[in-house]
Amino acid sequence: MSRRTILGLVLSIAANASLAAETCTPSPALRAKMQPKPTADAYAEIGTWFGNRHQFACAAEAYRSALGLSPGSARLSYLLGLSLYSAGNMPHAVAALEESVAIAPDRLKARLLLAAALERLQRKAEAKQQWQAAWKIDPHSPVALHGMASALIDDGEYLRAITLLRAAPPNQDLTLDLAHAYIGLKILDEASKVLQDALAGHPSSVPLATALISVNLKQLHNQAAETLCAEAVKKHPFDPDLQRLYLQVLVLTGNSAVAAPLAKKLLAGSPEDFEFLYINGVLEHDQGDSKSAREHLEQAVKINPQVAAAHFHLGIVLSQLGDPSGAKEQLEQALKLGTTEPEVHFELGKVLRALGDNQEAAKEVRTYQQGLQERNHRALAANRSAQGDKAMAAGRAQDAIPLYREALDNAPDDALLDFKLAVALDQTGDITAERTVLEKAIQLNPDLASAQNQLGFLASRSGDSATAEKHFREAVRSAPGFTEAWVNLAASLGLQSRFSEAQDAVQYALQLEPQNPQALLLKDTLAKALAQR
Amino acid sequence: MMRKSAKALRDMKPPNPGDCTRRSLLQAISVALGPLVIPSRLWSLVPSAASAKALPPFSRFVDVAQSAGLTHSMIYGDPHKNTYIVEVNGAGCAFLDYDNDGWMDVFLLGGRTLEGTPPGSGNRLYHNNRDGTFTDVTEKSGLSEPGWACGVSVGDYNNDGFEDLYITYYGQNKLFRNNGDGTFTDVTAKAGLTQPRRLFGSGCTFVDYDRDGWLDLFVSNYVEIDLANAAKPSMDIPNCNFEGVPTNCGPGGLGFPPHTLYHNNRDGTFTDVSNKSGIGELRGSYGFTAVAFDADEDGWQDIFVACDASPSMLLINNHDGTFREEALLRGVAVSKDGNLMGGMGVGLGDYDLDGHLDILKTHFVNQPTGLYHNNGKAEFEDVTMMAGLGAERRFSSWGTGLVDLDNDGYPDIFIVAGTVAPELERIYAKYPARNPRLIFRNLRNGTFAPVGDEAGPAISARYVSRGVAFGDFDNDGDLDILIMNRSDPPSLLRNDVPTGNHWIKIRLEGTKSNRSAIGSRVLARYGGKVQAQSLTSQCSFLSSNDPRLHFGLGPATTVDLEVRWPTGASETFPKIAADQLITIREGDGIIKGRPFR
Repeated sequence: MSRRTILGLVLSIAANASLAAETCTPSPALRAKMQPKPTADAYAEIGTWFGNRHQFACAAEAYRSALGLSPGSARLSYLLGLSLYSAGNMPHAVAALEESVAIAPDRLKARLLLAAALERLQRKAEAKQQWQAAWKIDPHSPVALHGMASALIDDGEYLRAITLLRAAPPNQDLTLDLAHAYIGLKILDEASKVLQDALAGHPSSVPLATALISVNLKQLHNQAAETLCAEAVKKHPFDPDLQRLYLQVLVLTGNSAVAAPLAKKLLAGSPEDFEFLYINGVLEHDQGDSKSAREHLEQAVKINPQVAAAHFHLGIVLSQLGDPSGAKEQLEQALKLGTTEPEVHFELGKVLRALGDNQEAAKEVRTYQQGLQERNHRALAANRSAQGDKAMAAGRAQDAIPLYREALDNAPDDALLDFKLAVALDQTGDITAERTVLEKAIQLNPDLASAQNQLGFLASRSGDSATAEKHFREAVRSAPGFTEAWVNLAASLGLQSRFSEAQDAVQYALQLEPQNPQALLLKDTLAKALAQR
Repeated sequence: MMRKSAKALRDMKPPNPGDCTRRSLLQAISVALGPLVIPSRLWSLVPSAASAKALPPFSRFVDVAQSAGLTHSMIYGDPHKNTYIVEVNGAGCAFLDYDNDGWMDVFLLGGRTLEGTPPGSGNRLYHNNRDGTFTDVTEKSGLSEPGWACGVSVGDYNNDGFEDLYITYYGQNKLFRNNGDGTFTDVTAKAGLTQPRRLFGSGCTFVDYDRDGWLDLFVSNYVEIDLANAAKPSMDIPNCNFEGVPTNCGPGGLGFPPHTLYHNNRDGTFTDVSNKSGIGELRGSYGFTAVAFDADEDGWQDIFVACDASPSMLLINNHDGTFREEALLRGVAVSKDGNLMGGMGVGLGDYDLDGHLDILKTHFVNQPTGLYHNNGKAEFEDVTMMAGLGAERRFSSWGTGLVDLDNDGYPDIFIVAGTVAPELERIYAKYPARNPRLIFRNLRNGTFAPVGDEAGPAISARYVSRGVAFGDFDNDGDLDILIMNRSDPPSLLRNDVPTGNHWIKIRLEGTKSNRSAIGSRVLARYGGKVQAQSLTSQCSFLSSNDPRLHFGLGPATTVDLEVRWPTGASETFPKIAADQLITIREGDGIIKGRPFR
């Protein structure tokens, strides 16, 4: 390579503002290949040489030079995109990769990389399209599957993700995706099974173990989570995240015999870690060591003053150490930070009494009692609601009604409960009561789309299309993805002979669900109605 | 990209507090690690009994139930899995002298199954043959009454000299009048005690709340539940599962029942005065054991009710036929950190020998048994941790007593335990269904230490136990222990107390006061110490103790006694010789009682 060429290369690299300050000097052998004239292939080889040395900016420049000599090369665009991606320059990587896929749409690697780059730029919808395209090119590509599945899961399309992944080849990422999708659908047993099977094949996998521990905790199988954690920590004794998770699980299971020494050890290794300080403080308090508890909790709140529970615990400890003023300050701070546990008021009441403020103390005790009562009401409501759901699932709407009513007695402001009751009343044919309950639901929560939709349906059934339209509009306003409400809106507009608006609405529904049978039928009907005019 | 899914899994936002990805776990931990979780859930190994080694030998207990003839298994629900909470709680037991021969007989409450009442269901009465054995006299007695029996209260409600029985049920509670001839008659309806609707009766106590010399009756109820439409174990219904295992539902999520006070009309009948007394309007507690005693030492009977997963109640007598509920104000409703505890059984005693009656309350698994110190004005302080009881949280605990087991003059603690969900042990080794007995020895300094195998294999034997009654069935001067075991024969632990310690037993008979002298308070002064005890109709878990108050005196050979009768009078009896049973009749002093020690 002539000195001028080399200089030219160096200067062009230096001139590129987006490049890191690297010295891009290819090997003498490669320099020689630039003689007598540089070619695209030679530049490409230089690019690859730089790439192998992780000098991605230099690689990118070389590929750019290659492209200058051979424009329209999908391969070179891809390589440029890859270098820019590796250098962390996503916007330019995307541009290069888009170029590549435009030229050669069936190249899998380019699609995959483009999708990944778009993900990094949070351009999720575009990324999803690319994953989809990649998957179409190679339905067995684990990376494509993983990308597709992740995109579907992000969109809440768990069922589609499961369908996609169920037949996928065994792969850790895909297993995790599948578990994630099951979790999204709250089918925790399946998530657990999938992860257990995978972990059996890869017993040292931290991601699999961690995921399974999370699932166990969701299933309230705390003891199983503790056992798994202990095994994982044994295999990976230096993994700090695992140690932290293990401590958290031990606290959840109440195993202070193991939690306490672990907490001390972790704190010794990270003396400024809020969570370790906090957990140590709480454990020490529970074991009666108020002095150490105070020390650690004080440090914890200093490091992160925004955690209400830390202030609360410190308040309790200070109260026990005979510092009611300090305790009061901490407890009031906990309340200011938004804690709603009635126990805070109980504690504050004790402290205020110690400070001689019996009137305020009595107020706090009353608030505590109210809080307990509200908690009881919520528990009762949840219990009855769940029983009602079971009755409905078994087809016994008549049995569900008193259960939902009892739940509402205990949680009268729960709009969703009202809606559930309305559904049960509908099934038993008590439309008048249903309407009343639905009106109450939307008064409590105008954004309850299902209730708005159902009210619209009832209005439509009684011939009041205008009122129906009003409710359907409310439904789609608060839930733009509610296909049924869009179809209903279209129908109510159609009934008012506002065919153009009706067509717009049904078109929206079909965009959401292209194969929705009601939407397709309505579209046809509207088209015929318009044709007849 | 490879770790994207794992990270996303961890970072997933939880839709409800139960979700626990690692990141949200940290957030959840900050909220979840409130006092509700930490103090009640943390447990550690039981501390060593090293500090008790300095004391002389303790009692040894031998289970003599088999040889004594207490061999009948007490049916109570399904031993392997429980569908409803009614199967879980039962039941209490009693030492009582139903035939007034001076020897404690045994009464055990029994249950049934969901399917019905198989042969052998129901309660059992055993007559003490005075030779270490008992005879099953249930059939003759008329007390069998199969059903979901829960609690028993013993007292002479008609002042005819014979101890009667009130038994609570899921369903209709029963008053059995002792006919004096070995038989009992169900006089529930005649006495006006028929309930207008089904309730889940649990704690009950005879109590002379108006000091008219006649025993009134307080009944606590547990939960509102109708088996016809009650929820079954389920992961989908809150409070119907435990740590990921479907279990019988409740008590949380079930309705709060009313509690009842009946006034004795002195003619064999009672009047429901719940509303008039203020008790009828109390809601918000799942009631268990009810203990009547003078908590604030003003001469009037108060009532403490241990409550499950809800604030316990302390009903303070207003002296005018009404009560005010002040447990929260007086520090005995919840733990010292404001946590609701699963209150089951009550021990009443004077653990620190200050002359005031303290409360011991057994709790649910993962919660220590609570000790509440009384300053004599019914102002209680939770001293659980200070007393050394904080570490033991392995079991759901039930029957209990603050009783002097080794006659050294210091009340000890005895506890029985057993699961509420037998299904758990198949999944979790941490929750075995059958649990050992627990003894904590009083170290004489306000603290207790666990007593292990030195108390004998009967203590480490494992059962699903509930009620406990303390009494001297063999009249040898020490406290033996009767235990109701679910789906097993009872245990009768004969106390082989170490030699060298003295004792006194006191039988009280009211004249102006109710004949059973229930509600009497005795102060015993011995060797520079003072100990208070009260004669109760129900204590422990839904059970009733030997009515002869037993004091261990240690090395002291005499004791000064002060008796405060429930109607208000006081009498003193100085320098009573130790190692005997004395009978004191109100106004008449020490009388020749029944001839046996």
